[in-house]
Amino acid sequence: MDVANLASQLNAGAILPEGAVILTLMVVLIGELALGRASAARWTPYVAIAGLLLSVGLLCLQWDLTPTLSFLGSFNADKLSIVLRSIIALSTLVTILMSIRYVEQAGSSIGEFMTILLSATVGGMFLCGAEELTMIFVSLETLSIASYLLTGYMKRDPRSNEAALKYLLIGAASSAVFLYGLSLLYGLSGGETHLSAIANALAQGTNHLGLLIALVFVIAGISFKIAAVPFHQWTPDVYEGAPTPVVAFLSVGSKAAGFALAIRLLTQAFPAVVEQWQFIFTALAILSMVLGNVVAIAQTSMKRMLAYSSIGQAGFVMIGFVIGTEAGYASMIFYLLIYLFMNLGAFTCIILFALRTGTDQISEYAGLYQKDPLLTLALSLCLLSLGGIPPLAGFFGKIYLFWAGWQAGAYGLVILGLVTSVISIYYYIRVVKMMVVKEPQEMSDVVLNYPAINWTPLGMRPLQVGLFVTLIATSIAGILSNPLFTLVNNAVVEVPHLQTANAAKTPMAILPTTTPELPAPLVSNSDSTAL
Amino acid sequence: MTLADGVQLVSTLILAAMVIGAALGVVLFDNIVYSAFTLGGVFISIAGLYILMNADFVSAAQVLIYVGAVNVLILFAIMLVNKQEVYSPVPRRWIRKLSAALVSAGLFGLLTVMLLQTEWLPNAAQTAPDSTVILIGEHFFSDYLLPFELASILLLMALVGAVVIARRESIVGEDTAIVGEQPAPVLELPERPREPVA
Amino acid sequence: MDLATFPWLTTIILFPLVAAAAIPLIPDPKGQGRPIRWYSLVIGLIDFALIVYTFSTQYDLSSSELQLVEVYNWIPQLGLQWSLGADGLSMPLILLTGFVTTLAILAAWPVTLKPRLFYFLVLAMYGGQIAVFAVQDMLVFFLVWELELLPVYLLLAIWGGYKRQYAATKFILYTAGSSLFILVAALAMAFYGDTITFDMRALGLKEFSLSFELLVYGGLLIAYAVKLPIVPLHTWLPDAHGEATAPVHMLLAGILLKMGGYALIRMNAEMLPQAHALFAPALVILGVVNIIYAALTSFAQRNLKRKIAYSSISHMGFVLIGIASFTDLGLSGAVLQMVSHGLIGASLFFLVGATYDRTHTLILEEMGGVGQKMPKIFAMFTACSMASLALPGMSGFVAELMVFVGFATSDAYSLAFRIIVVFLAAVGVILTPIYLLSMLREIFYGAENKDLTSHEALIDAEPREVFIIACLLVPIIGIGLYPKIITQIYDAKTAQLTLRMRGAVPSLAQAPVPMGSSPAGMTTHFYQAPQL
Repeated sequence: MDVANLASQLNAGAILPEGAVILTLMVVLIGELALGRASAARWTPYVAIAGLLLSVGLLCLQWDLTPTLSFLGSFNADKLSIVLRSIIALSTLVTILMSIRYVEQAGSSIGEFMTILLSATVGGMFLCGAEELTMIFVSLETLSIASYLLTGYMKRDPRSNEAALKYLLIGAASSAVFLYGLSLLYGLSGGETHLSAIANALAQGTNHLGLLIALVFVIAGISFKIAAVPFHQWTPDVYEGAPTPVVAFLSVGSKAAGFALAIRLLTQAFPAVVEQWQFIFTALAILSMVLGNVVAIAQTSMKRMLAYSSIGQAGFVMIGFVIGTEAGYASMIFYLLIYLFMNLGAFTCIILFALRTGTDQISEYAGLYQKDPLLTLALSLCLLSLGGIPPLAGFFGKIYLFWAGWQAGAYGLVILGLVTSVISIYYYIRVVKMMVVKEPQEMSDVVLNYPAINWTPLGMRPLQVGLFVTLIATSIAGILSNPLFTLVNNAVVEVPHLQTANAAKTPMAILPTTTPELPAPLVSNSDSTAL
Repeated sequence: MTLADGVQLVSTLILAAMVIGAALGVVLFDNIVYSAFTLGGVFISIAGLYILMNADFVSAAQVLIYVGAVNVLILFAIMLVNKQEVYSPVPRRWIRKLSAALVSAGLFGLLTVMLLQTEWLPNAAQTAPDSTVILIGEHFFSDYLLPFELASILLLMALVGAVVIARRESIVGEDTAIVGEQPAPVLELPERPREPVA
Repeated sequence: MDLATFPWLTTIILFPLVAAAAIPLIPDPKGQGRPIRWYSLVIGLIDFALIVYTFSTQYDLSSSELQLVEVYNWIPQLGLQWSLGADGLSMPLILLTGFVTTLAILAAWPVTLKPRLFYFLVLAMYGGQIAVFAVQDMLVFFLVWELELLPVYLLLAIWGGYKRQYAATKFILYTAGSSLFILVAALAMAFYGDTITFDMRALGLKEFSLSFELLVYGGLLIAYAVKLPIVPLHTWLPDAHGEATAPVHMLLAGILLKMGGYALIRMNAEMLPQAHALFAPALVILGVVNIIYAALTSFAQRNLKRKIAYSSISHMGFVLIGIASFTDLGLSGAVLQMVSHGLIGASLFFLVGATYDRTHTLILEEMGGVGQKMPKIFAMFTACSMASLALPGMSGFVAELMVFVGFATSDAYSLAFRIIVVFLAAVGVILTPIYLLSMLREIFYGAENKDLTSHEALIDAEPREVFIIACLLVPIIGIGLYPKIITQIYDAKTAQLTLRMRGAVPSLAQAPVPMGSSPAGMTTHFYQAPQL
């Protein structure tokens, strides 16, 4: 059997995007060895960016292919996974843009940073399409271990060490719990590892208690990844101690991978206990929204505030997940896509500020508008978008989530989401107020001594590019969101197991009267009733 | 019950008792070196259980990797650090110990009930294979090909990461331009640590 | 270009927004903001001219239908449509917005702090506020309603008085919190029944159950009660108005408060008539409380801005009574009161700002006797106060009279209730001259404050200020003498709306509309214009 034949039998084309990332990773690693560390900063990031762009391009090409399982059922390249893999690849791309200067200024080696970051990306991307328990676990561990390493990358800083150690210990424990849950699934299904086979086997059995315990353990593992309360305790310390670009990746890419895992594993392997997992996730969503947003108010450090706010944001996304309708999943992916830009935009801004002033205290932002209007504008827009102020992208993301939630009848969750998003407006706008409203005499010391804006040093240009890209996306992705809506709807519509999951729910009537023709004029009718 | 079955049952019980006993030792010993050694005992006992399940390759791998590599590494690490630190006793420590014991016991009870309640589906392939190594190899290169290959990326990345963490840094700093007013300390976060809250 | 199908409203809304986005590109060599000021003024004038042109050529006064309709699918997956239109309710307020905002830009001439940001925000508000009155889709309505949140916050927080940050935060929490009800109501109404739509007219046609209507009505009432404001939810307003600078103040009093009244009529009264029939007595009582409580509180205020702010609240009580009167005349009066107060409030607040610029204090005790030095300002202040206290011949008088007569002749309430309400509201009307005139006396006469009157900065009004007040007084007096210039815009609409509201009250459904069942309503009888 020749190689081409084998590849077509395995349907290996499905993992070409991951292949591109792996190839890039190899090029970066070997190239840095061959050419030396001194020049690495000048080319490795750009190679990595090119590789990720290639990977996203390949994902786009795969969009129209009919999804088939590849590698004998290990990997599923359906549209859902394509969108989620693109989100992860894009988040890494923006993370690289913001990390060049950061890593360079800290004096660390950038080639290895890229290598580890790209492996994390590979892990996350495989996780989005993983269809089989072993594959799920190995890709999850690839992502996790890379995240631990990245967290501890600033190894002389005790905060970074502390963060890495905490993350490692809690992460290892959660992986163990997750693995135990998977092993129970394996046992309960009589030795199956493919998700669809597990679902078939479990559909006949009556092992309710065992299935529930497996479910709880699996959810514990997933919740750790998406930092849902009460599995969030690692988040603030890790976010504060880890290098900021890594935090950006953890809060977007890693979280998206966690949600991808949740969608695939829970909807596919646990159809027998849909109500139970939706109940558990409802509780997690409520806790995350309330605790994340309320505790964020009290934070004084920008990174910690964003850590708590990202917990709250994950709570919003979970609304889309628990309602279990097609619109729910679509809104969830739509929000993740929007969140990618606005959150990474915010992180780009705080990295820029930290590089120029050496601090991330919120109070130190006072009066920044006078010194750096561009940074103020970008950070304000990203934070306001996170808070859901129209017409920025975040508003549309939240509207879609709440729309889907209301459609599915989750009134309580939607109202709670609305109330907590008002709370979130309060703490986001506090930062905006700090930057814009403060008088010149109230300016903080670091802003008073703000260095002249200089985009020429190595790695500043990519930072600038990242800033503009995220800023533009955050500003207009909401207003012009029609194509994105079509994209996420298509991604969800063609996935069979999401259809079965929502068959349990009673779907509302088909979507609205969207024809441009006007409804019958009000007057004639009301007149006839009145008279 | 044949003799073989009887031997198997007795060995299982003995091994299970060893696992539990050694694991308790890991948790309960105050001296960390004792804990590390009993951990080795846990690994060995589990390897024994694998043999009883006809998983000879896994058993051998368990001994080689967990006992031979992981446990020895742990011992090395403990002995290299060799730092005697006297911890001040935590007040009301028994409450923590008691609650931990309660949680563990509850979990144990729950899992036991679950194990007994569940009707485990019989595995399709009941007959013991001739050679587990061949079987594992076949799986690696057929239906588990992708995770097997992905594991290589995982290992590569772990290797790189270990090198990054362990290597002694030569300070590069000189030629890098400084953007902020002060040069950032090398290999530290550019953000200043927070002032401790009074 | 086909004039009839040209998207006029979209152009009117987007033009200031796009123009605002260009502000960072304008060169400003001196840093005083002079080119930006002129640029904004020109944009404001062009947009106002567009509004007037659209109104005069494309708008049919005799129709009660929605006109200038534009519908574009925005996000079909959500049923979100960019759907605009103007009818008798929106058109006068759109005209008012264009007029007051343009004057506010002119009034902002002395603002030199961060001019780019200031004019950017004002222009953004310009488009956003017109959008609130023109949008016909509930979800987009929520969007534009929230859109005004941030500009007002920043305008308050940067350019306000000493307690500005407190006031701005209070404003944003009140408004953002209350606007949740709009979104919840929009979702609830859209998903009711078996079709999903956010189109306001389609929603108006849906048959809601009574309990559902009551719930939604209550929610929307809270949202709009914060904006209008209605008394227990008004506490943000004295703070916000007390701290805002004059041009922002003009926008707040002139336009923002009207958004609440407009939405109350557009949604509560028009789309939920069954609930409106049950809630109406409560609205009347709230209206009376508004009038009397705010007038009494205003009486006790020693801060000029807070005094006027409370008088605004008091005047908004009439809007509530008019909405709940179930007569054509009352509803007509409510709309006229909104327009009239938009003009009067803007002028009064502008004058307060002008006075503050000279005296640098807002405390009445510290002023006094400045009338000698500033006769023009005194004259203008007096004229505007007269308008505010409803002097016959000014717009406030007509509006309040229409509300009174409309309510007094309403057949929806018992005679005793009507007598009590009219009596209490009349007490409020009597209180207004007391506090306004005593305020005038304290500022301009009273014990002379030598430090103040001898101060060099105490100069009389400059031509720009006289021009602004003249611009505002012309329509105030014009409406007072000949109200039909405004009422003709919406007579057809209010008549149709009254019929709809009455249709939901069983006892009124068959009864003839009292005093003026003709579309032109009672105004034409009452103020019969000489036939030209």
